[in-house]
Amino acid sequence: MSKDLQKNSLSRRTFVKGLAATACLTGAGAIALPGCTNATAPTQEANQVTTAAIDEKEVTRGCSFGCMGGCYLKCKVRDGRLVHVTAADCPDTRYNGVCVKSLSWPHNIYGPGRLQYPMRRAGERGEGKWEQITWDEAIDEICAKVKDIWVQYGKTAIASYAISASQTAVGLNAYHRLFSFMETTRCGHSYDLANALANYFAYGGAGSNFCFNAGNEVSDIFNAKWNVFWGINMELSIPQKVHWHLEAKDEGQKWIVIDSNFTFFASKADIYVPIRPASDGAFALGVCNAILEKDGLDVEFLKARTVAPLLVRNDTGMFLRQADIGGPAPEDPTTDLNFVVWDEAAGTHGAIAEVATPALNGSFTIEGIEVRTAYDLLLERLKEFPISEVANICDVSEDLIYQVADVFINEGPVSITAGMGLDHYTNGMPNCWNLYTIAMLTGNAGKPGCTLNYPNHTGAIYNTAYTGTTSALAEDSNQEQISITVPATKFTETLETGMYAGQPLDIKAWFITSGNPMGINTDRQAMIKALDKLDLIVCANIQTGDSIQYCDYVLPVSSAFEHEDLGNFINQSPYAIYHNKVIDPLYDTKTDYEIACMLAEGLGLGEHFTRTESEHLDTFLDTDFARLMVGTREEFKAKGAVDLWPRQEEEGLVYGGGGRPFSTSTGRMQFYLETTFPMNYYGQVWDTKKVALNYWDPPLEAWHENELFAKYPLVVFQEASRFRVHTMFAYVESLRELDPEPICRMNPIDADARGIKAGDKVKVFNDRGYVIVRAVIDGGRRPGQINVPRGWQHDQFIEGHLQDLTHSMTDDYMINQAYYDVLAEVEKVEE
Amino acid sequence: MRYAMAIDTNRCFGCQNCAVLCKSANNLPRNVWWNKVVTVGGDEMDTATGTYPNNTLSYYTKACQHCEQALCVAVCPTGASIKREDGIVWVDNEVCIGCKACIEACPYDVRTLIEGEPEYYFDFATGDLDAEPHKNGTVEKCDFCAHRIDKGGTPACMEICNGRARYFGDIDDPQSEISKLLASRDYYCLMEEEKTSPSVFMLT
Repeated sequence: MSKDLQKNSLSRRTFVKGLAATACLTGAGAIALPGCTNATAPTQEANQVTTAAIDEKEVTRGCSFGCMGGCYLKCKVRDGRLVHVTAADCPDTRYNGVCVKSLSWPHNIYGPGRLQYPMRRAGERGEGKWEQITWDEAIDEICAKVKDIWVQYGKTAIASYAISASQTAVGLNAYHRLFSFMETTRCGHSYDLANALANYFAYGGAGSNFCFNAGNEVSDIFNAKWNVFWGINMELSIPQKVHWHLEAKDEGQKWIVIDSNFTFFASKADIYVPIRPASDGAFALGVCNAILEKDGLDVEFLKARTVAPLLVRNDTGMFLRQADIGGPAPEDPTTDLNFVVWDEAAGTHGAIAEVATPALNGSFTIEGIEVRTAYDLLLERLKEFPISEVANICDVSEDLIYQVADVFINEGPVSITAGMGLDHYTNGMPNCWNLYTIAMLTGNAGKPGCTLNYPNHTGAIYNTAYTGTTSALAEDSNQEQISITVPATKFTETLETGMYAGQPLDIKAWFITSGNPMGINTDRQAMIKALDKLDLIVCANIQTGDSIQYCDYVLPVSSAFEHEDLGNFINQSPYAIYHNKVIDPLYDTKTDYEIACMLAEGLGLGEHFTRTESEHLDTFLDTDFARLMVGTREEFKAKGAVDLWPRQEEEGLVYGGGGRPFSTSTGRMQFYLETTFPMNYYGQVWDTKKVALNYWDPPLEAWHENELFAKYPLVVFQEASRFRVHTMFAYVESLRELDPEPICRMNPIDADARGIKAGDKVKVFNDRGYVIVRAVIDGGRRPGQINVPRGWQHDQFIEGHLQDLTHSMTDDYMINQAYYDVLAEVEKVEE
Repeated sequence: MRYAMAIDTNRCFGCQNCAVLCKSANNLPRNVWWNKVVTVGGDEMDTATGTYPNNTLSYYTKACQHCEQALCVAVCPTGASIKREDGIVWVDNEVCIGCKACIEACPYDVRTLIEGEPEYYFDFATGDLDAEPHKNGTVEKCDFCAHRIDKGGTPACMEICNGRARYFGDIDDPQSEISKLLASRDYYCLMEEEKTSPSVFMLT
């Protein structure tokens, strides 16, 4: 590219309301990137019917990328090329949906960002100089270097990163299998985990498996009288789901929006809470206190469906069980649900299954063991968050806290739709977790119209043991896999120090086989510096991007549309979708599976990759559940999309309905945890007593009481773009006409204070780095919080990078990338 | 027969699906968009207006309004812009000379003059094989995907609206969905003061 070319053409741009009239990138035509097409604007023969024989067909498949929407697509193919993508009809057409990214797949496949042939770095890392090589050269050289590193430093010196991005079952999991046998050190993604784990802890989603949230089936939303949108801008992030909510609103549903950003949904809210960023967990505790004050408790729900009546041992923090007081030892202590409670009517303790009147309050000594109800512990914690103080923390009126409480007490059923606006701070865990307690206190769960977060769970039907997705090693291996996972937040430090968790861990090579850590991970400048410690960086991807720029070998991957697959294991619709092959592989690319096989062969691991790609796909469907749900592969293929939701059951749309236990470790909703564990353990110490119970701390950086605030008074939010998924689709030319360049959205108050006007070039900076973008004046931004939409690649910024502003700090318990927990200042750049 | 479209302004949230579907189906050249999303709020796309937190933000989409009193048809010196019997305003690009009279006459800013050989993204055409070709020196715009209508289809923008905000049909047929909607809902048309009698209705 033409980085310069692009910059120049962008700088010619003037901001015009709306879009397209904008003359950006005019004529300059196609972007040209190394390893990608070097085409100038192509010419077309007139698109008239010139021959009688037109080879045109429609093929269905799911969309494949990291938003996990898993939308069902209908692809028009003409003369072997993908010429149009639209929504396919789901068995229930209410689930039909796509977004502008999926509609733009032809651009992703044929556009300028597509990698076309293997390359070897020819200059310095990041310099952008490459030479084209053959696949044999690439694989031979990579494998020779890996073997050298193995000999010198051992297996763990090779790190791997295989996450998200392509989201294909066969491809992504082929890498998981390969890396299992290579015994690599895994570089964890460390994102969105507070949201997922909070759902897991409180409600029973499979949080540790990442984002398998529990909840009622989507169509249940019509049963909710109120819906709370909390830290989510689904208009941008999951637009295919928006219509459900708009339709519910048209039917009379009311909305609460709790968000520092004024969103489209906020414009329609009946109650809008313009909350201070990262204070959401405190707000939830304030609402809980308001519920107590107004006698709004659903006592029956608390007793029957939550941990409230369970007795917590003063000595161990564990719930008291029959086995503790002379009852029979359970077969499996880890799943022992024979809790002891205090029988209020009888004035003594009893087995939970037999006590009709368990006490919610009280301290007791049972068989010499001192215990206290979990509910009492919660009440004590709530005292730390009086409503007046919560109002100060959250910078909202006390009245708003009471209004929200009143809705939960008196106007249910209430559903809560929560998003990553709560997650992406160092205090993401309490922000995500505490809101469930509002539902627990008021009985807004396990019933129609009470869903907490979105469900998605199609993965459960597939066999992932062979593929190496699960931590258990592949079925055909005798090895005991002991893989180290270094969280993304510690990866840079590990590279720099050669130590992880107090042990030497000298990483010398990094395989980045999907995803774009250099584009989306935090603390980018530190990461770039640490890359000097690596002798080898290999990237396999469909598209170019920030990670490609820093690697030594580029392996171009066939797009998801170029092979058959099962797609995402996680969908936001209730369907398992068969992913048909749409077009033949393009250019000199190979599928992820082929690449994994070639690397395995070159590394002497070929014996584990004897199955064909097609046989590998069959392996996923080799489970009784899969056979029951989707049938044979041919049957699955013929059906296209198969409903996995157990609708036949009574109250089948409702998670935890009909008294069915929640999928938590206690079968109950949990505001208290018997055991606490961080996602990654590296010797850190965390306050178990504090984090076992709903709590709230300010975020580590983006807080007005932080000393740094005097120097950097603006919180930097990174909105999800409707035009990109993380960095995917960053080089789609048609979308760039609508959304041509990185911007910084600012409230007029913040802009005026700095003499900044719409369209000005501005530098957003802090001690870690800076990024230069164009200013957009937006009255919907909270004063004191700016918004730089994410997902741009380095060469698209005027200078710098958004992730140069971010840091890798976490609290010791919640290991998660805190993208929004950032302070900065903004200044105008004179032109 | 009068084809018309209705946009529910309570439902449209600016997702851009309709704009991109139109672009793909009609193989529109670079920088040509027949159907655009308009932000009703601040000065730029997706910005709210008003003072935080008492802001407002909404959207609608804008393409050719297929006016009953089509000013573009009235001023066209060659007869290239015509009003079809089904209500669609259509440009015959075999006849159009690109004089821009229609662009000046149209109050909606929805017509584009193709200046120079059209530039595309790919070396093949996207979308519909029988979509209108794009020609140097001619004016083009939304034609309700007339090539689809003529085969019994509906416009590409109707394929999938994430807000379920779009309606299309014959408003001369009182039994059509869109006729019933217009009979039961409040609506307005863009720039009613121009007295063009548009066939695109904004439901409120």
